[in-house]
Amino acid sequence: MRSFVLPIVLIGLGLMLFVGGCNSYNSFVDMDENTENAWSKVQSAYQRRADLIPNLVATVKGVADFEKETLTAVTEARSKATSINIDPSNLTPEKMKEFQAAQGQLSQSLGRLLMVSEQYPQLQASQNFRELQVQLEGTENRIKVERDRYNDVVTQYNKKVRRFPGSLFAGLFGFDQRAQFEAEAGAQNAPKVEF
Amino acid sequence: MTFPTAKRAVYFLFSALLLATAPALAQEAVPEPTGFLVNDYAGLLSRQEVEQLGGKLSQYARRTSTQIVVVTETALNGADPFSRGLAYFEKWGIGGSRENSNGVLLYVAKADRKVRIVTGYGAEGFLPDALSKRIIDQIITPNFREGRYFRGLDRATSAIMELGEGEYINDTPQRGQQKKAKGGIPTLLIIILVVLIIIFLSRRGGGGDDDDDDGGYYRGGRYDMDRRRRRGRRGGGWFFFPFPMGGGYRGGGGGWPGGGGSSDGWGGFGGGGFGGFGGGLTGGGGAGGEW
Repeated sequence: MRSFVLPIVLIGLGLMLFVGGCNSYNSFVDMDENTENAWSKVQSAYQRRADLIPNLVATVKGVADFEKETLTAVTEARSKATSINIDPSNLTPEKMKEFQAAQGQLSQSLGRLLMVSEQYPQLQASQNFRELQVQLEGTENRIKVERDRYNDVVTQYNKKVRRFPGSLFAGLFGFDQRAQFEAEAGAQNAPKVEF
Repeated sequence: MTFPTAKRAVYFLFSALLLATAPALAQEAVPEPTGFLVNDYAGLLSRQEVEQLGGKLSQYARRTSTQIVVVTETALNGADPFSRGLAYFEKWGIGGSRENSNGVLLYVAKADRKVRIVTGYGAEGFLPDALSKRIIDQIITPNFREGRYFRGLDRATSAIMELGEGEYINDTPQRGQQKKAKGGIPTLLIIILVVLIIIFLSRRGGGGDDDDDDGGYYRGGRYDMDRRRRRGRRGGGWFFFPFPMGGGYRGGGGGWPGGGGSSDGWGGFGGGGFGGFGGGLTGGGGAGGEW
């Protein structure tokens, strides 16, 4: 009689562990996919902005005798920002910081360009330029939305990775925490694109 | 040695505080969806105008599945129109379905004199930001400046409708959404069958009493009979109880409590049934303006 009980209990425990492991592995995979999806949306929102810039620069150049410095700053910041692409499986805090710094640089130089452009009435009168401004505002909004969503999803994921029963399996299956966007230092006084 | 951790703790506390207060500062809660496409909380429109606009939009939503929603509020109370519009869009899930996300929100804040168009992912194609801006600048702003709110909203929504024409069609005309019932026996049929079986069984067990006339009343209800007869009626009428409740679903028109600003208690909502919001998502597209 006793010889029966122990194996059964062991098998039961093993089964529970197995089922629990499967469940938590699957939910990790789901959340992992979600974060990757959210990240790809973040990147495409940034890409959208980058795609807009050549057009913007061309318009500004064509309409007015514009400050050279400002334009080159934007072009340079753009090429730097687009050169940094992070694979979603490699979202470490360092990489994220690098990405954010490059994009932040681009935001700043763009803000400067828009600020300077206000001194050119010719530019302000151009329908093309005004619509580019609207599109730019739209991409900034999209970036904000996708970043917030990404942060939400990653928060969920990181919680899962760090909290107790899950953390065991996360370590076992190799799911690491992922980096989030941080509020940029001085984000409050970043040049605001306002119309 | 301990200084950096202390600093970090302070930083953490500070940011936690900021986080905690941010939503409270940002905005008041978005109301629950009303079931109407025109939601004139600010009372900019008359009853007739709301019904006309709502009728036009819900007809369009039924035909194309693209949902164009109008929300007007009295004031932003410190929020910015973009995030307020976004909050409405996200909470209500404007759009025929999540996959299509073909919804457009036209948000108006009366006291702040601000307008915002928010487009769902699936509406960005036919209504890009530049066009949203053009609609605001060329249609809404000039009309609103002269106090012609209805004309502005009517023409703006017509312009959006024209742009969205042919982009989507409603292939489930009843509800404007839903991808359920993939083959197999429809759920409704099963429910009907089950109900029929229950009715049949309950009739048989009913014991020949006149139990139809007293609907949901059973066991100690006002119309209940004396004890001796009650036993015989068990299992009688109470199965019919769900029916009176299953009736009206999102009727059109009619006053709505709360909100609104007009004197006759008219809440400012209208537009008949359009099938409900489909859970559409937005990526923050659209444009804003002021008048």
